Amino acid sequence: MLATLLDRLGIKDWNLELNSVGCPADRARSMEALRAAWSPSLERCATIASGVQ
Amino acid sequence: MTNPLRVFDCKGAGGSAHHREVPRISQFLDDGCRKHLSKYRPSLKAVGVPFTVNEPARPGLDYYTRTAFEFTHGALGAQNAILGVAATMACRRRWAVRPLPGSGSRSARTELVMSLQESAEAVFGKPDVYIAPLGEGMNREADGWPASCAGMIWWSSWEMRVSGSRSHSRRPQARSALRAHRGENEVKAGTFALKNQEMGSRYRARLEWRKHITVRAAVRQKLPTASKFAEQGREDGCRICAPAPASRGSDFGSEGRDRWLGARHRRRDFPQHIGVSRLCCTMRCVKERAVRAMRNASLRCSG
Repeated sequence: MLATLLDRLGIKDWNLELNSVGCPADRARSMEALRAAWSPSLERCATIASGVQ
Repeated sequence: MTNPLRVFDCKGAGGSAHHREVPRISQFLDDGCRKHLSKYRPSLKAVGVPFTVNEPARPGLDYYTRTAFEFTHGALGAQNAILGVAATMACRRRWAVRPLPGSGSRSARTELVMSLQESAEAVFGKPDVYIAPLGEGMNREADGWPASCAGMIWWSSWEMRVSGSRSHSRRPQARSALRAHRGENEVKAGTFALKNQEMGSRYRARLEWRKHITVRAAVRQKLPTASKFAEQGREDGCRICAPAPASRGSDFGSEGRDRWLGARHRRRDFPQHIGVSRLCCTMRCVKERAVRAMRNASLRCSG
């Protein structure tokens, strides 16, 4: 229905991105894994540093 | 900061390299979330909606659970999301004591409008009238014309008027179906001239004190016969937008033209004394189209 809406509005070249954000338990595990993965990169990128710390 | 997903906002040179290295949330999904996500893929393929699976979760949807959609537009740069939908089991932890089943959506109105502006040409098509004041002294006269053209889609470029409206009025690429001229002679005679861009024919109409009525009536009489709007209406099967074949012939007929005009106008563009019949037609047309679009979408989804 939203795709029809965008077509009717004349918006072209849209992309539909599908994903799963998981349930709270999945997300907690994912967050921990992300923090662990990004910890070595803290010095290289200020955005990572602000996001992980 | 407590949300590592914000790191995905980093668009720096090293950012994308970091994104490839990190673990994906798909590696941590339980069976319920996997099944829920897998249910949507065949449904979207069945209804012919192209999609991609975007692995890094978007931070803006992190208070939802399970499957999430996001519509993005390629021409908007980094902030490219225009619509977002979380499919089920909204977990609004800030406002609710416990997770609430349901679905939620959000729209990025600025990005949505930017997308609309990008394709405004396709949305609006030709203006009904191009206002061409003939001569520099007529610019002030033409300033009042947009109000006179209430209810119509008009086009009058200020830059072109400043740079020489007379030369511009002769340009063949003027896009409107009709061009309204008003020069010194027309001012003296109390008239204005209309030229049908497609057929090349010229008309002259009298400008009375109720300008908006005379301009509207004259333009409505001289609209070109073939219109994309009617074609679209016929394709959609809209009996409001598309005139009946028996009465259509080579022309819309007055009723068809009214509908063609009315469907493109907003309520606030109508002077109060115009009446409600065209407004009713407009609302009925819009409602029918919306109901049909939703019915088709639901049928396709359920099929």
